[in-house]
Amino acid sequence: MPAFEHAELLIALLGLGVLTFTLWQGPNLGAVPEFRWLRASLVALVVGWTASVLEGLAFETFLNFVQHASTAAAAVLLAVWCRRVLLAPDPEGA
Amino acid sequence: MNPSALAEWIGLSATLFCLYAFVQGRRRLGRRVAPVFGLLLFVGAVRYTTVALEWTFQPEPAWLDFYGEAFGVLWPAVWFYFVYALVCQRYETSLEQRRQQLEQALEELRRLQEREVEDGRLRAFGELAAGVVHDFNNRLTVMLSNSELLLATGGLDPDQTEAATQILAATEDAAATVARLREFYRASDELRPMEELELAPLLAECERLTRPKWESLAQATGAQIHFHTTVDGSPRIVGDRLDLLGALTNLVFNAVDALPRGGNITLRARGRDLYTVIEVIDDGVGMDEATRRRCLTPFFSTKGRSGTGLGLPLAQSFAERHGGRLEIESAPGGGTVARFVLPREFLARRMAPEPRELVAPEGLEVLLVDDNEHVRDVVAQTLISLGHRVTEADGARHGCERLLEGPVDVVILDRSMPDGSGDEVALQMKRLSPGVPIVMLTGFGDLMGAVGDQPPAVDAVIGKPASRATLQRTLAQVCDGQVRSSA
Repeated sequence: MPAFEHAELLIALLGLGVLTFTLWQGPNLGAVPEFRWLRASLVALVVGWTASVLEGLAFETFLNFVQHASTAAAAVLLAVWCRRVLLAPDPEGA
Repeated sequence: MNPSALAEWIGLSATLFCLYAFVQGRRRLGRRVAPVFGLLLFVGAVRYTTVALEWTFQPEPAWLDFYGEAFGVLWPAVWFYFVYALVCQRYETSLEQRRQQLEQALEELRRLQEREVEDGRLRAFGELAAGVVHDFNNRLTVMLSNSELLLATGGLDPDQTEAATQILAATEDAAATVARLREFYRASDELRPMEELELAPLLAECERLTRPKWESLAQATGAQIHFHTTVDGSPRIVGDRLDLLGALTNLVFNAVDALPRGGNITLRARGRDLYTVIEVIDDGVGMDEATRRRCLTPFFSTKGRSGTGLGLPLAQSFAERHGGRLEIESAPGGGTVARFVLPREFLARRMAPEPRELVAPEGLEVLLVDDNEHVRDVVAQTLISLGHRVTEADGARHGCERLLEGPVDVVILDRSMPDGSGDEVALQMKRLSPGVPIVMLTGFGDLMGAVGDQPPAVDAVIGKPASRATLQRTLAQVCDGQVRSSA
């Protein structure tokens, strides 16, 4: 019996669902400014969540690092999106 | 430090930066997305904090592990909610844009519909007016020509001369009245002689002409109307004096009607750099916005049966013919300003050209083709009294036969005849005798002049009723130096 943690499995499944929904709604979400950074952040998160599930099967140390590195990268990518969208200078100078 | 812990602290720092950016620029996210994104950052921050603490302080406390897992599960759920909110906002924006487009299209459609109805009414009125003008002008031709003949023939005693003069004057007045109907179909670029007008005396004349109206109102109702005429500088326009007087008179009458309890009417003229402005201002009852928007529509009147709804449209027509515009400002209880804004440059171009000196012909052989016997008779008599010889024809076929029999110096031709259109007859005659000028004398003369309609084979068009002077001038124009058969 593989050493899955139920919570981590649930998180990974939810994450994959969010990613699927995001890709499916791609044409609509394409209008969101700088959406590629948001998408990259979500992908990084899903990679991290998936690694947290897989670390119970093999390469525990490596995949554990991948999990934490991916979630950190997700936060950094989200910060980039915030910087480019929320803190960008107003185009009308207002 | 443990690399995993370091990664989580980095993630927490980035998330705190996101929270800062969110506080600064949350308005850009919109009302639907902003709270969800705030929740996402909050859940993320808690999750990063708990996991970072877990990996920093080994072994971690049990409660920290619980919070880490709980917020870890919440995190993708809130992410889903965030993406869903973005999609919804996108749809809402798209729907709002389409709603605005539909509203604009609907408004445009409504405007076009109103314009179409208005155009239809104008077309109907124009057709009606053209028919009335044609028939009425035929009768006026008989009256005008006969009265002119009476006066030209002489031998009348003073009373008879006076009576004939009055008939002639009344006929000319009637012709001028009928001609006013053409205001509705006259083209704005129609060339007509204009004169340079000094506005100060013209406004004074307008005051004099309208005085009976506002004084009689004062006598009838006890309402006092104070009339003021103001002229800044010495403004001038180049235009049609009678047209301007008529338009101003209409506006002053409207102002009087707007003052049932008395008040002030100001007639003001001033020159600007590029424009001359003439205003009729009253402090009367004014109009609401809906009435103001419709007041230039022909036949729209708030005066019930006493109003024709033509005063303001005619005034607007005057302004447009002079290359300008009529502006109406009004508010309920706040009076009305009717303002002509007339461009100076345009008016300068409209000065009448110096008339070329023409040689008045005599002894022409005139072929007169008209199906109306009365018109034919009086025009023939007029031509004879001018020293010409006239051959009459009562229709198209007869006219062509007479032309072939010759000699003919000029043809005067009606346009509308039972056995053929004047346009086609003119073409046929030109083929038969290319050198003979053709004058079209028609009750539609004004209309044809208005729209620039001159049939290709026709050398001149004159409207009925045509005075002796008009006939002679036109013959001089078309036969200037080309008299062929007279001897």
